[in-house]
Amino acid sequence: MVAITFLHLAAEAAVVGLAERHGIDTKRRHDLKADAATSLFEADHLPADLGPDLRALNELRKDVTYEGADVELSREELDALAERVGSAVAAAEEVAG
Amino acid sequence: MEHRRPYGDLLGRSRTEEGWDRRLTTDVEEALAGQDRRVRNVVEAVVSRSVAVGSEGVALMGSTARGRRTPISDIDFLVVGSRPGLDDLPMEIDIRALHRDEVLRRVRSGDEYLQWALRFGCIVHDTGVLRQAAQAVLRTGSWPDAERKRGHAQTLLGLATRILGSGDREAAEESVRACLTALVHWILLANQVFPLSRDELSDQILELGSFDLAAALHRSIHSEPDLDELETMLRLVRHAIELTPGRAGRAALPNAA
Repeated sequence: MVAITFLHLAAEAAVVGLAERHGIDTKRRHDLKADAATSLFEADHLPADLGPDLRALNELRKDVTYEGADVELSREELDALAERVGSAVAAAEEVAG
Repeated sequence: MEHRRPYGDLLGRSRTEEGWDRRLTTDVEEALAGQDRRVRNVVEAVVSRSVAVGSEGVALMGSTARGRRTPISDIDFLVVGSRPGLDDLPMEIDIRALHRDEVLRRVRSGDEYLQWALRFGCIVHDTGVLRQAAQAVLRTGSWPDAERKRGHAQTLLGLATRILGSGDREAAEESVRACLTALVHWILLANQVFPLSRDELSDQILELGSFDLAAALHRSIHSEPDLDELETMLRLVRHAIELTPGRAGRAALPNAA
């Protein structure tokens, strides 16, 4: 639960930071943040398309937060996700200076 | 004017075929009445696409079904069967797609989400499985496990505390709201009150006498509390959980943190 929640938070924070910089309003909506991630990738502002990851993480986050579901990702899946999210955070930090 | 669905529990309508048919007719009307055009379009699209992929049941859930949408509401659906493709629709939509066997199994074990669908949801499509599920709830008298909700609130408290510590206000707001919601669900269920949609929970908990919790939940939905206020809300949750150790038949209702 902690890993899913914090990966989702970090990914969204990076995307929102970049989206604001490039004039994309995500209106505090999770689906628009996922759309923005894809737009940012297509415009070469993100090294990977985090849109599908954000949608999947949001679904998982809702399952664990609202349903108390016991959702587990494998170590490999978490590592791969963490790498993609980490590169998005680095891209956002670079733009923020 | 906003349409508001009646307070009542509609499980009893499953007793007769006529009663269930009447509920379905009314539910379809109420799922569309008073909603703005974009919501109506989404409801119609979800139903038609679900039917097209062979789904056996569809229920509109949550605040949209109750006519109590807030600025943070998405549109929730329970689908019995395959998940329809919805990526092209313009709003934030949350679909929970379950196989019919899973629905019937979980309903008998007191699953809160499914019982909510059967009691208060707008059932906009049913080939019989949702009626069967409603009858199973009536027959078994199953009720969601309040203690499980308490454990969940406790877990969310730990998570919200960590997120608050990160200083991300928007994320902290969402996690504190989830935590307050789980806590209120626990207290209501322990008092044999079925939690309605999120915006109605404040009124429900107020009716049980907890002004502070009602106010905190309301503010977490309708305002943008700063980090200090969010911390105060978490103290309230902590206090409520500490007040009732063990299996509480009737949860304590804090009014001061």
